[in-house]
Amino acid sequence: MASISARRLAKELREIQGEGCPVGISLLKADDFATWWFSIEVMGESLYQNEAYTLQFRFDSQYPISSPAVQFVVTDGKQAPIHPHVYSNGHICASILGNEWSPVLSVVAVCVTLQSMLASCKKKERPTDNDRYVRTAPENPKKVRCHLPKSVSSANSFPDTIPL
Amino acid sequence: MPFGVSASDDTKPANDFLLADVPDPTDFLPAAEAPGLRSIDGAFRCTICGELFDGPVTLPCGHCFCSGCIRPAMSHKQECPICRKVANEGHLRPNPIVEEIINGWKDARPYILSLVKQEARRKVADQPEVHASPAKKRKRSQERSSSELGSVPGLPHTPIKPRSFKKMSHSPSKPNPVKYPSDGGAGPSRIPTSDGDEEDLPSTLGLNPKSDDLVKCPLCEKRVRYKNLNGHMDRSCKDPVPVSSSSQWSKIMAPKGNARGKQKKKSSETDEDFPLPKASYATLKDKQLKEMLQEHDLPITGDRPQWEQRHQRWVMMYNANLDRSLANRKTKNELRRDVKKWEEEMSRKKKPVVEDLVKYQQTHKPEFDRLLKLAKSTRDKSALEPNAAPSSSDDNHKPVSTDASLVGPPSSMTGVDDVIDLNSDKE
Ligand SMILES: [Zn+2]
Ligand SMILES: [Zn+2]
Ligand SMILES: [Zn+2]
Repeated sequence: MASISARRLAKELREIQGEGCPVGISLLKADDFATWWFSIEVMGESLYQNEAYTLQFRFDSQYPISSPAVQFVVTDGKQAPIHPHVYSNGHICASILGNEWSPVLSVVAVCVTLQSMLASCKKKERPTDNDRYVRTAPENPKKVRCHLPKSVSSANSFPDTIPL
Repeated sequence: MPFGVSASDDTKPANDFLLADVPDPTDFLPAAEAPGLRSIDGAFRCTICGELFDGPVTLPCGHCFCSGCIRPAMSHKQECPICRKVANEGHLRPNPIVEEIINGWKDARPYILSLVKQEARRKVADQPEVHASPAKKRKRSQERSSSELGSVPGLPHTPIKPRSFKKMSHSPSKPNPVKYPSDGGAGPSRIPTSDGDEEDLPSTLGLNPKSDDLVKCPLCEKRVRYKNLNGHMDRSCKDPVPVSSSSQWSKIMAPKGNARGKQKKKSSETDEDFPLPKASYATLKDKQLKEMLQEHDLPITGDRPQWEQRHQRWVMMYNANLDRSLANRKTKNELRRDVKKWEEEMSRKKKPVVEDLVKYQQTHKPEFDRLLKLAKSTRDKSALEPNAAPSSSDDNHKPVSTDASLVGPPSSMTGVDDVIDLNSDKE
């Protein structure tokens, strides 16, 4: 029996590839159970119209008990969206990626949450402490506690399930 | 890590993953065509692991998980992962009824799937010329399942409507702050569920089981691989003894001459029904911790952090095992084997770090490729779907480009170094 994390990810992959992602989200690359990349775009009217971003997910052996390390890709000419909870190095201050993570969340659910986070943005600006943070930030975003006020909650990440 | 890979039939190393499947509720036709089946199969699955419940336990909020899934989750955070109501391990109650249902479903599932396929095959044979038409649901169901059989390739068929994505496809431009359901009524987005238990593979149904199929022992009703069945019965239904290449583990798990080590059977262990207390490792001396491991016939290889992890994992698995009904309970040796497997996984996957990434990918390539193929076959099916599908979610079907659009980011981005989990006590 393969590890729980690999099995869980395999199931998620099967669903993603079999059923597709929600509108605006697409899987770019998933060649192993360590790192996946998604493209994420806000559909409809928003400050981020026609802008596509790349999200990176990294999984450890404890997934889904422990959260994936999620960030925007800021290399190869890619940029992180300008948002009060997104640092210019791609790190994201979102509680569901930290202590609000729940093992019943999925990769796609995280994508949808971040998509909503962008969609609901009122003003394009970097976090107030962006420069300081980026100077000292560890490579792995999971090593950082999110301390911004009003961080993105898990609110949007739990769409209704279809009643069983 | 100090443990070798075991070679026994029952101790399945990672490459056994190649044999596993990732069945999930979409193995069944949508509700319109096969009412209830897909939702039943989904309801029987743990939202943490996506497998059919194993040792199901219920929280005060009513939500149900595998005992072995919710316990580690609670060591991270003392709440229900679905509704986030505060809860701890002391709240867990076994749910024997659900467990019984799952036992029945494990038998029924491959049977029903095979019936569905037979039916589809029959109808296709009866009616070779079918044309997709939204008005003819029955027909479309035949087409889809027939193409699942691979017997009539190229036929159009209906898309499988994912339960979770259907509602997730709401326009994100109008974010509506859905709160966590506080009443425990609505669940979270269901993870893509599926189940890889070999028991679920339709192949177990065959009248001529293959050597690796799990069949029910006519004597003790335990599931054993067909090729092992004779040996199993010859041994009066005792479990085969695992052979480990690691001396400590193998000594522990091999049969011993003395009375204590005598291969225990489940029945002899049922008198030990009490959960183990959790240890506060900070207060324990090395010697005490070693004794605690030895008390449960666990090895004392490795260093202090490994002992603690091993003991902690043992306590978790031991207690989770008690949440299984007697018939489903694992033997202590099986649990030890599980702990050993877990340690092997940890050591393999602990650090998919920069320097190991290439190796890691190579190691996992076969299982990954296999899954990818599997997933693709599902996708290709949906790619053939007619646009007549009565839903807008077709634009969701974005092909996966495994090559081009994003070549891996530079090495600075690819490495996962030590991940510090905020709430983890395992680091
Ligand atoms: Zn589970
Ligand atoms: Zn709950
Ligand atoms: Zn038997």
